Amino acid sequence: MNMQTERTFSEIEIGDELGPVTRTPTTEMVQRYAAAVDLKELRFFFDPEEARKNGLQHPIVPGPMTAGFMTQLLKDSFPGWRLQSMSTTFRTPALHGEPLNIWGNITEMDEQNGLYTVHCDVVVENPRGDRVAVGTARLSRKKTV
Amino acid sequence: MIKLDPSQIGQETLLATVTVTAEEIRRFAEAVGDLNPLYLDAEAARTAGYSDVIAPPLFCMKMRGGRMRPDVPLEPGYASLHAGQDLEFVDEIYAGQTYTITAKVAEAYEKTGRSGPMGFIVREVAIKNASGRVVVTLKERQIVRSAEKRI
Repeated sequence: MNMQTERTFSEIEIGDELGPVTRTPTTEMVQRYAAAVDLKELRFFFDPEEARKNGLQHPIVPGPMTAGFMTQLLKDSFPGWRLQSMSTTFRTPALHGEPLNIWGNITEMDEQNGLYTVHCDVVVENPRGDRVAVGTARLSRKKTV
Repeated sequence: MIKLDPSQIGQETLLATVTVTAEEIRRFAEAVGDLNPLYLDAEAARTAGYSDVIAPPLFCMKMRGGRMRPDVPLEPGYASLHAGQDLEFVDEIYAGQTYTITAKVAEAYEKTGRSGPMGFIVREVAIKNASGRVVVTLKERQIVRSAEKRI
């Protein structure tokens, strides 16, 4: 994903779109993520038999890995801004190898106490059009004189 | 379905005290394909005003450990999934800094929805820096359901 150039507050408008970007979490990526976060003991993320025992048709992508794609979209869309909060609901599991379409838009902006703040919605959708995850986020930046 | 002693609710548990390394941050950033220079290049981070490389926001999931804790046992035949999370980032996570991670079960309850009986476990995690200041809070929701129902 390419980072955008820095935008000033006056260049941002409610309704501005973020993305879309496409990320395809392969089995290899899930394994690397699991190794990086010490998740290897939860075998239903890789092992089809363990997935079935856990009520899943297939091994799935860990939810927080999907959330990581969402924060990446936000950070890349707002270089120089701080991500202050993000709330995410995982609605349906993402499957290995399926492209995920990630996008968002700006829903609110304000300027107070020396800070610019933007609020965003972020969506992750699978190729069948199901929403894998939805979230809201808040980013801020100090006002410059 | 949820086998939790009610006295455990609200009981704070120390999960870990960790010193974050630039190598761990790099490994995490590469694993999720997030190659922002602020996570990989100390010089780029310093130019941007940070004292060292910072971690991607979701690095906090590595800090709390791969799975949700404290452990809450489930009765046989039930399985669970991560249903969602609320994150507040008060400050960045820096390479070279030491952090303490605590967690507690805030709520656990069962109810019957359209798809049958379900359980919910809500945990709260706090990451504090060496001064004892909270830098990240995480509230995460786990949904419990029958493993017979395939999704």
